[in-house]
Amino acid sequence: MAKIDLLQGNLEMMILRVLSGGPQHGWGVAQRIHLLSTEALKIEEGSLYLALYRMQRKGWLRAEWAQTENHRRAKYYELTKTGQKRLEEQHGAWERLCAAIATVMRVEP
Amino acid sequence: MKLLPSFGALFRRAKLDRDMTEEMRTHLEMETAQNVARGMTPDNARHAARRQFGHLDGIQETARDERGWVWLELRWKELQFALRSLRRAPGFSLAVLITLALCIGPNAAILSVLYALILKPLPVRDPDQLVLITNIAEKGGGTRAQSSVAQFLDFKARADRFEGFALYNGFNSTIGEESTPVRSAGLQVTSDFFALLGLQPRLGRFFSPDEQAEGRDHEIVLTSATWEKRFNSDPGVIGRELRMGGEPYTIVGVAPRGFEDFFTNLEFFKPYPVSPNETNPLARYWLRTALLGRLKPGVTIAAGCAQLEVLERAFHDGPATPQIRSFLDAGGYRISAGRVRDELSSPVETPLLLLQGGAAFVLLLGCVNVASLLLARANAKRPELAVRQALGAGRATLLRQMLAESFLLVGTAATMGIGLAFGALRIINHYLPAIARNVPPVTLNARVIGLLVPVVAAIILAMGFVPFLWLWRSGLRVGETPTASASRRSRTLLGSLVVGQVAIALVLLVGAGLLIHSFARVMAVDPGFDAARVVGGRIALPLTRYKDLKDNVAVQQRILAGMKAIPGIETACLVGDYAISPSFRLVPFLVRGSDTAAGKAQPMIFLNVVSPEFFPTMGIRLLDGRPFRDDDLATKDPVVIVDQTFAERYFPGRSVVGQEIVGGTTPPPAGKPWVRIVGLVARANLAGLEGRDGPPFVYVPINQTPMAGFSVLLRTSRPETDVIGAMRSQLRSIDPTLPLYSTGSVARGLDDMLATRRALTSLLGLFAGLALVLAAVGLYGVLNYDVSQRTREIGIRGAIGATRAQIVSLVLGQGMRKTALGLVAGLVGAVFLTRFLRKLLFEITPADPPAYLVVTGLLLLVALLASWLPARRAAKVDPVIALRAE
Repeated sequence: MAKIDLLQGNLEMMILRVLSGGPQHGWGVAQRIHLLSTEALKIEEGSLYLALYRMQRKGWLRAEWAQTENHRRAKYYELTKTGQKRLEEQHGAWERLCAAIATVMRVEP
Repeated sequence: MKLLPSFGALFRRAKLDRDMTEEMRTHLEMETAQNVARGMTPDNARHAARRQFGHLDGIQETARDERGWVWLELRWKELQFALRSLRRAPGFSLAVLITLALCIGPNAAILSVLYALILKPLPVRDPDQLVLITNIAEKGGGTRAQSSVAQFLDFKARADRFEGFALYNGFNSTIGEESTPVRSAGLQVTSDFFALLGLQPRLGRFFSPDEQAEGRDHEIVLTSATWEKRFNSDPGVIGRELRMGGEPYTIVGVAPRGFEDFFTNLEFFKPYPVSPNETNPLARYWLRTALLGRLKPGVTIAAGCAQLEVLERAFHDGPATPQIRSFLDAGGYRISAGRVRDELSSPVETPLLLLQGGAAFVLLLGCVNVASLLLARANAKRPELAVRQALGAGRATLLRQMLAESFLLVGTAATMGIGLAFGALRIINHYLPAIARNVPPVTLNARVIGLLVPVVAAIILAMGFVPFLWLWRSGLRVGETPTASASRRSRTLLGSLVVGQVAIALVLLVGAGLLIHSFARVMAVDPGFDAARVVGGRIALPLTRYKDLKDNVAVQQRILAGMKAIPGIETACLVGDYAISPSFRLVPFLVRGSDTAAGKAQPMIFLNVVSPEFFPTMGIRLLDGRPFRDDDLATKDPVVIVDQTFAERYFPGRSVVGQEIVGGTTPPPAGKPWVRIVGLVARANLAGLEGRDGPPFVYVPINQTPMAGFSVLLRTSRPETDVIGAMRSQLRSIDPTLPLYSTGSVARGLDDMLATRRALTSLLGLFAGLALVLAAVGLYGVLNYDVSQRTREIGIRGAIGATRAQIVSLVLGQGMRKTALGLVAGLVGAVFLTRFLRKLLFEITPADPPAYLVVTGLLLLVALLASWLPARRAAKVDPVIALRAE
């Protein structure tokens, strides 16, 4: 798979989407995005964690240390109400943007 | 919300870093596990996971950066570096700390006193619009007299530029049970007093206008301090009865806090009893009360005063009788209004400002010394700084380093200085009551520290920029050796700094010298009386029981007899006023047979009411005529005794005994006799040694009018406390409700009168001494540094034949040249600035030659000593070693 440059906002949106399904740790989020994109996207860990920290500072995520299934200590991130709202806003904006671009691309110049 | 987690990040940095590391390690473990599950070997799995992750450290660093507060962390590191660097130069750091602490401390202390006594605003509404109204006798030496009830009523009715007026007067009385009477200080105030100040009662109420009539005025408002101390803040105190001066008073309210700051001993307020006599417009110049006025918003003091002047003029040209008119014209009376704050604080204002100036100068000197030290240190660090610059440290980094060191040094010194100020204030508070009455102990409060912070900040900036600018101008090159860079420029700069220091030290020394000389002159004044073994106390007679002249005189005699009977007493006497006091009752008078020419200053005398034994008790010599006799009564044949000053001024070359005078400005009305002078005594400076050239004293026998209070003076060789105890028991046996207060020896009272002058002189002397030491250290430091820089040159001189004497004189000459320049500059400055001292000097001019000569000589001597040590060091330089040294 080729590396597609992801905009920061898009990455955050996808992380929020993943976490809307329940709390998850950093590695788990990366795996999920990889899976859900049918392996089209592999996130750079650096960007992932930077995004997670950023969103935690902004109050969209809440973090807690807990035990994984394999009894490892990991930091689990959870969506907050603000985060949920943000997800809905971003999603809506994204859909509208995509629709607009698609319209432009469909029309013959 | 965004800021808070970030703020927490500042303090839990280490934990956050650990968390991050652990989180990423867990991630790697999980990725590795997955890789292994896919079939890779453990090692490959790990490496693949690492590769996949990316640059671990870089990510962590970026995460840390994004947390924010990097700027602060960097500054913290710089401070730590500066601290280490200073620790490595303990001598230098200690010198700077001590110098600055010694200079900042006095400033903080004096600023606190200045604030407490002069700058602190009154705890009233709009204090700038509140004025104190006085009458000034221009022709009577500019003496300030109080105001009258009649003026109060007139102004209240017609001065519409004022919101209102109020009267107040001291009213001291005896509170308490009949067996343990305590003298308490109070204030009698008109009902609008508190409203004028804009104050609400803390408890209860204030007075109402109908409580001002005599007889209806037996109500009391307590001050907060009294309520808290004596009544334990009991809210049930309202309505309670209190016995004061033998009469019942009802407590109606408690005043808000704040008065305690300006009248420490004040305990209560009572209504002002306005008697019908005083409301008579013709009683306009019974000047016995303090008058407050509040100007309407926007009205200036000058405008308000102008309106009052118009009203005064209207009275003078209108209803005033010819007698009143001549009184006014003879004294040159005019009305004056001044801000209450200024009126209350004026006596100590000049000395305090002077001291503050002195302290500021010392601080300047200290800063100059520290600046030279910093420059020398910067010069010595040139190689290190050059290397740092070559490695990439920009100018800003260098500046930040200088500022960090300056911040640490000056900040620590300022803290030490404030600690010093605490100690100094405790000492000052010990002596304060003698200087400024009724002021609570001075403390360092937030406002004063707030005033100091910008000063300290300015010093930090200056001490940081000076070495930086110096290095910037002279450039840094790697490979320079320190001594080779001792350029002319650095020597000139340091040299001119020393010249400045010497000049400032000289100015302070001249000031101190003038004050010391004045003090010596004051101490050399002959008091004219023998204060050595005289002890006194004051007694108040409640006029309710002693209103009749016969009763009053009878109790006076009983008390006097009782006091004389105390064993060990040589003589005893009664005095209407205090034995010694800054001022006595000033009275105009007329000599029979002479006429006061129009325009000449109205002659005034101090009136002192005394019993016949006064002169032997106080040790005042009788020069002519006779002393008072027990039968000298006013109605029959009024007599007075005058002092030498009176005789010299008004009867030069003639005998004064037998002459006749009268109090007032007009001859006695028909049927009333002139007053005859029966005796002449030596000049006694009862108004203090500094009052030597003041009005002459005229003594009047005491048994002429009922006295509300008088002092008892005893001449004795017994110890003071014994005598005072005996006086108290004597008084108790005569009338147990009479308290004895204001006790003490006359000698101590005389001493206390000099307290302000003594404090001012010692403190300014201290500052001058400090300035001299700082300047000497500065001179020594610069010359020493110079010698160390020029070791090679001195070695060469020695090698080609210069004798030790020549080398010594070379260095000495340098030092003395700088001193001479500083001396000249300082003398010019001193002549300029000492004119402000004029008011504080006694008998000498601001250009007093002995003071200047002594001070110059002292400075030259100290400069010689400070130059001698480096000169000796230069002479010891061995040419061979010096030439090899580079």
